[in-house]
Amino acid sequence: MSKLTVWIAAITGSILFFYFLDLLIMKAYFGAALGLNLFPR
Amino acid sequence: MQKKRFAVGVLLILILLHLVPLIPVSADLALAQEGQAVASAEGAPSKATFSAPKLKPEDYPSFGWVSSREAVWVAAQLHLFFGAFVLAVPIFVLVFEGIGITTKDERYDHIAHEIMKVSMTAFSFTALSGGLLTFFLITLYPDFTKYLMRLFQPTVIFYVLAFIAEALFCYTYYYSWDALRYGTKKWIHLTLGLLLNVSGMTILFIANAWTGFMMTPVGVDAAGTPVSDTVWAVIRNPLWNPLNLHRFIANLAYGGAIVGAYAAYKFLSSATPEEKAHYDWMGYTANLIAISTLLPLPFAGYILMAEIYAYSQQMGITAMGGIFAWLFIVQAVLIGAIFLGANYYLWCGMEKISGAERYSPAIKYIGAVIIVAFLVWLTPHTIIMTAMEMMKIGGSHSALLGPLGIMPAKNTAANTLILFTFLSFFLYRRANKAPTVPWVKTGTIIMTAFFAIAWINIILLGIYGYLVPTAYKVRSSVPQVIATLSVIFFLTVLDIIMHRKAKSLGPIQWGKMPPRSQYALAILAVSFTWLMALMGYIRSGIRQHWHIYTIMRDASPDAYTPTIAHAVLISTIVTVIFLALVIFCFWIAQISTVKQAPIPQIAGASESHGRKHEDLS
Repeated sequence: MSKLTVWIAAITGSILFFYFLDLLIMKAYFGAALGLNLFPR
Repeated sequence: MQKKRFAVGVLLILILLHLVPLIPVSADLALAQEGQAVASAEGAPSKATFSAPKLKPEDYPSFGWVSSREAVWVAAQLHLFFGAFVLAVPIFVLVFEGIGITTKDERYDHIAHEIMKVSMTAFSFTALSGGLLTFFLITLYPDFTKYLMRLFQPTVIFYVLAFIAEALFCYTYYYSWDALRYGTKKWIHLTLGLLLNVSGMTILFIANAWTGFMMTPVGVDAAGTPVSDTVWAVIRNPLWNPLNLHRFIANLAYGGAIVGAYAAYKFLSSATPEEKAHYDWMGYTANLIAISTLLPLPFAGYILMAEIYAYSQQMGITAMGGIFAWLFIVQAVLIGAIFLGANYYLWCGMEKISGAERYSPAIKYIGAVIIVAFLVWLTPHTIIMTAMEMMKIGGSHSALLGPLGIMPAKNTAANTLILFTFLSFFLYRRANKAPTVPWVKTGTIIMTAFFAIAWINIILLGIYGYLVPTAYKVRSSVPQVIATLSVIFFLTVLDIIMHRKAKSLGPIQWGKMPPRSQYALAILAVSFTWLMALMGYIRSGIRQHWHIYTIMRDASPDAYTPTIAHAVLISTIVTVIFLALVIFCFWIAQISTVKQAPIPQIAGASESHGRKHEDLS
């Protein structure tokens, strides 16, 4: 695997990781669609 | 074999003894679950027969020559400083002792024993300042103290019992150190340390219930009458667990900072290279504890503030958007000083590590990012200005810097500070190692990409915060925090795997530290102490004219919010008193190692009189 391929794979992987992380948390906060509430009242 | 059985027996007895105070709690809880019928049937007086007293100014005794509020303020803050220190020290002393056993590295055991020695004098000061606080509370605020203690009645007894247990375990733990040094006996010693920590945590959690209740009371009606016969109803107030979490982490950070200052004090006064090496290593370890526990602290603080806002928006806004807001700017400056100091200490430390020169070019960039993040964090949004100043700026807040005053910018700055301080630690840790695994380049690329994308993600989430309504603006800080934690976790794990069987690039030359690095350690201790005094004042002060928020009104002549300048003055005075006493603790620990030479009875006595020599054995 060339150095460039590793860079592309690492950047793509990291972007996907943080994209889904943000989506999961913000989605949960926006509409509680996933039933996740970190500070329940 | 018999010895082992004996040891196990002693351990079991110790653990069982410690459970004794918990039995009445369980009974109390069981009673509560079964309902209140039992108590009523026996004719036991119900708690619901009293309410919060409605006081008048003449109900408050006064010393006359000193403000009651300030007397309690100073005593409480001093008690909190010492309490935080002596509760934190046994936690990491126990961890060091455990590491010493597993790694068989005697240095850990020595450092643990020495730190414990420093905390022994501090333990006495904790008790003294606690006694002073109790005396002031009973003398100056008798009705309030009586009401609160009655409301929390069984817990007050447990508090005292836990304190007695703490004293017993503390002295046994310290003085049996050499007697229980090896083999099975060492495990008995560790158990004593564990029981010491259990007592300390019990004290902390009980006191937090009282403090939390004063701010976010539950389990009582509007008149302050308990609505339940169980004390649990008032203990489990909204701030109890946030305070438990925040104070637990903060105590560790604080304890680390004070021990760091002790190491710096000893380093600067050391004469031999061996001593310098020992205290350099101690300072590094203490700094590691202080900063690694400081990193999650803003998140615990966030939960605490979120709960305050959730309980009373008015209280939350008073803290962060009202009269106390200026103190948050002071807080930002002090936290910035802590981060800068800690990073500076690490950068100085890299000079003594062979191989660290590989990372030297990166330091200036890390420094630049930290300073920019620091500046963003301390930029105020709206400040109180004269008409002339307003004209010069062109409004109530600067058109250019104003946007940096709101939460998305602050959250981005805080996460950036944490991320780059972690980077300094990360580089320091791996400075003298060269990994030998075949995937070094791939691993480095993955780590670099993950770090960079995480930072970009944090910045983008900050920008996103400007584009959405306020509710989502605050919420976008959660994925920012998770991104920071992901980096810390992922990079640490990957780096540990990568550096298995790593080649050493040379030993770390402990003791070869410039003296200026030690002043950075001292700054950490001073900033932590000052910060605790100021932020503690805000936390307590946002109750304003209430002893117990919305339940029991403060009718004393001191029931007003002092000016920021006055509050800072009192906080500074307490900080100075505490630091002077801490230096006294350091001096006591030092003088206990000094032996005076015997005075010869013959001529020449004057020459040797008073001469000292260090007993380093």
